[in-house]
Amino acid sequence: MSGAMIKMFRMLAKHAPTIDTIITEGLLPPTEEALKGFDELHNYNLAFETASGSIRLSSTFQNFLENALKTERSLAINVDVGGYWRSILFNINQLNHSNTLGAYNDSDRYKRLVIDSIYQLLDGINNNIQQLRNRIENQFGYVHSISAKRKENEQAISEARTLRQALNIIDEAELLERPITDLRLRSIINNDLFGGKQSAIKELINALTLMQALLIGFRKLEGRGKLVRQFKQYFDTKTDHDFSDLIGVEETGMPPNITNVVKAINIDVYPDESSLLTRNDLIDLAQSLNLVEGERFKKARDNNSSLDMTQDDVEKAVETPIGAKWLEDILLALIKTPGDKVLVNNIYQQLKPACKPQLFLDAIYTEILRLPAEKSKFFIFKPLGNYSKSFNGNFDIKDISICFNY
Amino acid sequence: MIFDEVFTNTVESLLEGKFICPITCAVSYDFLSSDINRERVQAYLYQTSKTLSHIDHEFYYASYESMTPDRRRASRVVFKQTQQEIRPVVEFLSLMMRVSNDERSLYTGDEIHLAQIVSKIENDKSLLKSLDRIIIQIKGQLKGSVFDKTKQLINSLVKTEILKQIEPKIDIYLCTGKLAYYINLMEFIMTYQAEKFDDIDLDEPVQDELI
Repeated sequence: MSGAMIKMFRMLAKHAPTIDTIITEGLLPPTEEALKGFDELHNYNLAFETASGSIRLSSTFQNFLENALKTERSLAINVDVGGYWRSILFNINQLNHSNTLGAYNDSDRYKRLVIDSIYQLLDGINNNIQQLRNRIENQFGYVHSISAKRKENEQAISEARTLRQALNIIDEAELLERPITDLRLRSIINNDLFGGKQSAIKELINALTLMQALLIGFRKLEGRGKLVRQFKQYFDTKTDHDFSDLIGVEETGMPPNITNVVKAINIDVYPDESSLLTRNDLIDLAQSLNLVEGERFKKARDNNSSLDMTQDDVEKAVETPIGAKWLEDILLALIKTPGDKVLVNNIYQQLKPACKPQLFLDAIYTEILRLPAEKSKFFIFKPLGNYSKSFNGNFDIKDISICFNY
Repeated sequence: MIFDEVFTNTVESLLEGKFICPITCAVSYDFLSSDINRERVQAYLYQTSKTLSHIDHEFYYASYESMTPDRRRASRVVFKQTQQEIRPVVEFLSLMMRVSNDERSLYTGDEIHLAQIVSKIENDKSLLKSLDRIIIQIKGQLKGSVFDKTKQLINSLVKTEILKQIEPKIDIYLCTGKLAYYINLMEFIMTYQAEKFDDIDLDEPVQDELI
């Protein structure tokens, strides 16, 4: 057993640079030595290549290293406040006792011991706080992974809270029970010890606030990265990529906010290839709007036209027999044009309706496609090919298409 | 009343279904960063039966305050479309985590330098393989250089508004707030379809993925 262990640790020592590269970069250096190192690590189940090609250490080995390195690289925040405090109280008691007995040599010695204990305590507290500051400033940079940083942060918060609690042990009332006649010692206790305690409390509260903020950040970072890796593995290993049943068709309540978005964020629900409506696109669109046949639209239009009939041009276009005819013609063109792009201008120019192109298009929206007004914003008239940027709807149309308005 | 252009533009953008984040629309985003302005916008949207929603204050959008069959249908259409975009987004984020050797995912405002990505991918066959896989998923062209393929990927993400080019002709891109939307959507899916992810174990590789 020990022989195997020695062999393994020799192997680890030999390939320490390779292990370090795997930890920090997730890949192997392109050297023969590194490849050999990886093979040996893999034989011990300490490293593997992921499906995506990166190299990783096994989680157990990674944790082992992080813990081992943590103890090497960081100091614990664990100053023994209670121990020092008991020592201070004991030595003050001894000091007073020696004074009572008139044993001034002893009392001097105890006084020095009290002062030493106070400064050792303050040094310990200050070192701990400095340690916390370093961790915060480096954002726990002595460990590599986000999860390790998060764990370190949680641990540091716990240690800082413990230290904050421990500072309450330094009790002014308890000390006042003991008469201190030495002016220098009284000054050290009042100014350095109690002042230092208050200052340390402030520092710890600041550190805790900063660490709480860092912790939120680490959790968020860890969460996003982990989520991405979980979905990546899901997509790589599962065939069912449909989550649409999350929004039921028949549900009556409000959908979750994340799926309740006004209009599509990206209007790619409509065909985008060359941005032109094809016959099939229009049929699909018509069907999605429950439009089945022309006659029904005409009746609906007669009963409930959403066109602004006060507009002179529209009135002429829609309400004259010619207007009614071109509406029918457009509908037929939409249905019959086999696979071609629908060029509204063909019909427009053929029929020569007495309305401007935009109104002509509005008529198509409202009278044929029955698109709600808000959806008509998705479409614009656009000349085919090169055209002047000064086109404003009154253009002398040669080739016009209905385009999606991105 | 004084015409408030920023308010008007912000409300109009939201009603048109646009999203507002610090990268895509900084003026409106700054405007919405104020509680008072948010309340003004909210009050206006409420009159149209809509409400101002946000994702971690990285991404503002309008959502319906009340549901009708049409609105529900629209929500379903949006969700169906968006869920199809999740995989390329996940693949891209995963690729970027590997390219940058960082287990942190990208955030709103993070910069993407095309040249740096191309350089990394060119020197790593496994990254190239992953890039090819994404190109297939986004129905791109596999022929061409690593630069061409990476550019295709970036362009598709610009099109879905996850990335925004900082300047025309400069191949540096910024992650928009829409990334936060996708991340939150993924969290939502994970929460409500947790059973689908039950056997996903990130700690250890599955056998067939080992060498």
